[in-house]
This record gives sequence, structure tokens and C-alpha cells, in this order.
Amino acid sequence: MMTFALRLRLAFTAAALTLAVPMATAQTQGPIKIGLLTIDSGPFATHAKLIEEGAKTTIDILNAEGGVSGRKFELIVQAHTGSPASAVAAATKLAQQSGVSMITGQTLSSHSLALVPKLESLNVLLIDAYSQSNDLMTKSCAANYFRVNTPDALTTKMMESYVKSTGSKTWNLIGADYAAGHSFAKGFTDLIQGMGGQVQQSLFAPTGTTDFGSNISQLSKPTDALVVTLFMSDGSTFAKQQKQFGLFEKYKQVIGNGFATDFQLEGHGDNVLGVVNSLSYVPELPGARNAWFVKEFESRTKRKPFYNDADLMLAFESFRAAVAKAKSTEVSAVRKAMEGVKVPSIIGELEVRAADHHLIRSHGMAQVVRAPNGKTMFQMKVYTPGPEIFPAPNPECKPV
Amino acid sequence: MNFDQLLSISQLANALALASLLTILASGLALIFGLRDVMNFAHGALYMLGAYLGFSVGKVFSFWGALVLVPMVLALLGVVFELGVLRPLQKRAHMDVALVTFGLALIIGPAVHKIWGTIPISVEPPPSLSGSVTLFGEFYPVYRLFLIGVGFSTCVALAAWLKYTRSGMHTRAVSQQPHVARMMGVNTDRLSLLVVCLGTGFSGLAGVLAGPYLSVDPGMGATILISCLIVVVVGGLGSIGGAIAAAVIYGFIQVIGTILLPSLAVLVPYMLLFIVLLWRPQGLGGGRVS
Repeated sequence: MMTFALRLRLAFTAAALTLAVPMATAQTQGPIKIGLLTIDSGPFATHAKLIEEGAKTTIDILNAEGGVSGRKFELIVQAHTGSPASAVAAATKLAQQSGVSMITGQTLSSHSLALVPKLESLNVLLIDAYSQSNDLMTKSCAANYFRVNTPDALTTKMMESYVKSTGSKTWNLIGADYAAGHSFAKGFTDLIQGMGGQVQQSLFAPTGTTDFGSNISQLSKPTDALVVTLFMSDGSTFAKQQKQFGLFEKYKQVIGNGFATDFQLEGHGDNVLGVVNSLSYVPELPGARNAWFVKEFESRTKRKPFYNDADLMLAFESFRAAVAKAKSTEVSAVRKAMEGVKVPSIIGELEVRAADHHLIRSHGMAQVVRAPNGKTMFQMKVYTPGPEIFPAPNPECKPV
Repeated sequence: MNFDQLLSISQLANALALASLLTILASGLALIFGLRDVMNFAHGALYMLGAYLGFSVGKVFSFWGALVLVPMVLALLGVVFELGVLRPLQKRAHMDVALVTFGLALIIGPAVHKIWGTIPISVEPPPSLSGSVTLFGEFYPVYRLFLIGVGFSTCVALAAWLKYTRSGMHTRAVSQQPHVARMMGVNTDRLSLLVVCLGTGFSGLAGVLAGPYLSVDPGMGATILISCLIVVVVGGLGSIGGAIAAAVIYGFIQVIGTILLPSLAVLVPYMLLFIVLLWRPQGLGGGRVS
């Protein structure tokens, strides 16, 4: 005969089961939640609206295409102030309160490096479409971390043949004084030294530098070529101030990394004319899927997609391919499926390399030239397939 | 360390150009503090608004038109600021009023983003001020020399107004002994309106001047406000002369820091603030609105 306490326990268990079944059903049958991190203060805030617009549009395009396994995607945007700590807090909120299974967005290298150790405990995947630091493909590899955009190692490798073609032996460098700037500077210096050249001056400017005058004056003792790796409003300020000093005219060649970017091109005006910048995507790339993507994107936003929009599309396409392969949205199943997944993407059939969780994708160098309408535009000079430029997986990287 | 760079004439001019912009902006902040005893945290946002208005007005008229019109528009906003915020709150605690100005900055910022967007805007100098000239054998942008000239002229004009005009004398009197000045028949409300309009007008002037010098972007107000607060505190709260001296020192240490200690350059202004507060807590100036 059951005691009162036992009957009570059974009743509670039955009630809990009754409540749990619909919740579990909702998680497996509702929209697939994706978190988008954006920055709402500092120099990177200028880019947040574009990132949000790009992510919403690409999600809308993929949903119109049918989503995945009969389910749609739902984007949840979480803004933060731009520090690594605030990025971790925002990601925690997305994972624990909003219940997202995948995060992407405006993740600077310092943010991704701070997030990597937390991902497993948050039970969420980070599919990075923004940060460039090489550490994320070497010592900071992690089980729940994947990257679809172009890391610095890829950019410097891809630059190699282009730099050789310039014949420039001596270089000056100015970069952002944080992880991405230093990571690129190290890779670029190694590249030039490996080619028998020399980087004579490496200057680093803090985020939010108001006046680059003293940096420009230091760079006015020119070498053969200059490489600039300044981002967002810092890049805009530098571009304008260098024009007033006539700095670029003193160099035979100016190369940019994240400097003369597509979304800032109109704002830059003639200040970056002639600069050759690393650029992973232009809307004019061949392929039926890319043409369809550009058409769909333009019809929704009245503008052509920028490289960040393409990177976000690659992140969502990779995630979608993994969910389809795993036949589940459960994080550990999707993570396993991501490794080696074939992605039918806007830039062709790609693969996520299992050894270091990187999408093996193409990258290019494009020059800012005068457009027929009198404004400026990018002209792709080199576009190299991923397998030719991606470094071999680093032995330090053990994403287990 | 590049010690030879320190002797460069262009580096000297770079320091003066930054100091000029900070002088114009910090003078406005110091004037309002001197008379109203309020730290206006909306000053950076007003400067940003001035820069964006300068961009739009400059497109319709010209840079020169913007240079005249925008400070006037900001001065009119100063009337609203004085009559709608500062005067009704004049009996409230300083912290209350400071928080209200902080709130204003939080309103102005998103409003600017909504109207002009968040992508940085490049404003070109007018044709007569574009390009470079040879300055003791070094190429230097004409616009920066113009900025130095405007900064210097503003200082002279402000000093002359404070020293030789009746309203300037009243401003000095009210900032130092408000009750005595009132007993002597000075209309402090009217004077306060004038000074707040001047302060916000200066933020508009600095915004227009910053357009071709810096990048016009949504973060520009917050960035410069911190520099401005350092200048005003180092100069001595409410002291115009101190603010001018502090702006010049700020410009020089920033340039020297960038050349000699690039990785620590961002900390140098804070070190200056720390040292001045330890050594001379009242700041470098000789007192309020002096």
C-alpha cells in the first residue's frame, strides 16, 4: 500500500513529466534560435547596424529558401559595449536566457579569445565570422569554436604572391594596438623577412585615436611600401589625415588589411584610391548561387552585399549544413556534424576542416579604382582558392 | 625611441592643432562650469551634433557657411538648454544636474545615429584649405594650420571679452562671488543665458572644425569628452586660462607619448591628470573664469 508521501512524490513526478514533454517538443520543433552579438559603443559601433542588417537579411533569405529540415531560423540580437567581458556576458545571456544553440556576429579577436573557454559550459557553438587572430587556429582552438571568415594567417599567405609582384623590399607598417593588429603585424613581418625584405617601422595606434598626425609624420620617411591595418572609424580618420599630408603619394605601394573595406568605401572617397586591400568577397564573383544571393540581398536592402554579409551567410550556411547532417539541433550533435561538413555556399562547395574547425575558403586582393560613375570601386586583382592558401592545421590546435 | 622626431616642426604643429580643437571645446565646458557650477556631460554629444550638422549644412551651402551657421544653431540650442534644463534645476544638487546632462547626451547620440547613420563620414576641407604647404622644409596640411589659427584667435577673443567688456567682467564676478555680484545688480539669469549659449556655440564651432580634421562618426563625442574633461580638470575647474594651458600641455604630451612610448601613449593623459591632482589639486589655472 502506497504511503501518502510516496503518492505525493509520484504525483509531482507525473506533473513534471507532463510539463517537460511540451517544453522538449518546443525546443525540437520551434524555430532554430541563433544569437547575434553586436557592439554598441566605441569605434566598432559604427559597424553594428550593418552587421545586424546583414544577419537579418541573410537569415530571411535562408528562411525563404526553406530553412533546414522544415524549420526556420530565428535571429536574436544582443548588443554589448565592446569589451571582452561584456561580450562574455552577452553570450551568456544569449545561451542561458534566450536558448540559442549557435552564436555569431561582431566578435573581435579579443572577444572570441575570451569566449572560447566558456563555450562548452554554455552549451553553445560560436561560428566566428569576424575575428582574425591566428591564436584561434593554434593554441586557442576549442571544441565548440568554428571560423568561416579569413584569419590573418590566410591574409598574409594570400598576400605573399602579391607582395612579391610589387618588388618592394622595405616596408613600414601601421596597425591597431590590439590583438588583431599585432597578430597581423607579426605575420606580415615574418612574411617580408622570409622574402629577404625588412619592415623598418611598425607603429601601433590605440583604438579611438583622434589625431594620427604624429604617426603620419613618423611614416613620412618612406620606404618602398606601406601596409595599413586600421579598422572602422580609426581607418577613416587615418585615411583622411594621410591625404592631407600626402602620405600615400610618398610610397610606391600601399596595401591595406581591413582598412579600405567595401562598406566604408563611399565614406573614404578618394582617400584610399589606389590602395590594394585584402578582400574575401565581391558581389561580382562567379556562380549561380552567388548571383541569386546578390539579387535576393539587393531586393531586400537596396544595396549589394558586403564581405561581412557574405561571411555571415557562410556562417549560417555552414550551420545549416551541419544541422541537416546531424538531423538535430542538439549542440554536441551539430558540433560533431560541423567537422568535415560539405557546405554548398555562395562562393562554391566548401568544407569545414575537422582538424582546426576552419572553413577552407578562398580569399583575394582588390584594388580601389575609379568607377565609371566617378566614385570608387573594388577591382579584384587576385582571388585564390582556400586549399592553396590555408596553412596546414597547427599541431597546437586540438579542438577536442 | 625616435628622439629625432621630437624636433620635427610637423610634430610641434600636430600638438598645436590638437590643442586648438581641445581649447575651443574645453573653453565652452569651463565657461558653463564657471558660471553654472555644472559639469555638462552633454558637451561631447553637442560637439558631435555640430560635426554632423556641419557636414549637412556644408553640403547645402559651403564649409564657410557651416562655420557661421552651425555655432549659431548650437547657441540657440543653448537657449533651450539653459531655459529648459539648467534654470529649472538650479537649486538641485550638482549630481542631479550632471546626471540630467548625461541623460541628454544619451538622447542626442542615438538621435544623431538615426538621422545620419552609423558609418563614419569623411568631410573634406574647402578647396582653399586643402593640400599641403612647405613648413620649414616639411610638408604640412593647410587645414591644420588654419585650425591652429582659429584656436589661437578664439583664445584671444575670449580673453579680450572677459577682460575688456562689461559682460565679461560680470561673468568673472558671478563665477567668483555670485551672491555679491547679484547684490551689486548683475542680472545673473541673463548672464547665464549668454554664457551657456557661448559654451554650446563653441561646441558647434569645434564640431564643424573637427569635420575635415577628424572622422565624423558616432563615437567622436564620447572620445573627445574624456580628453576635454581631463583638460578642464588639469586646467582648474572653470578656469579658461588654465584650460588653454592644459590643452596645449595635453597636445604636446600626446604627441611626445606617441613618439617615445607608443604602447603607453593612451595612458599619458591620465598620468598627467593623476600627477596634477596630486601636486596641485586646484589645477593649473588661477581660479574660476580667469
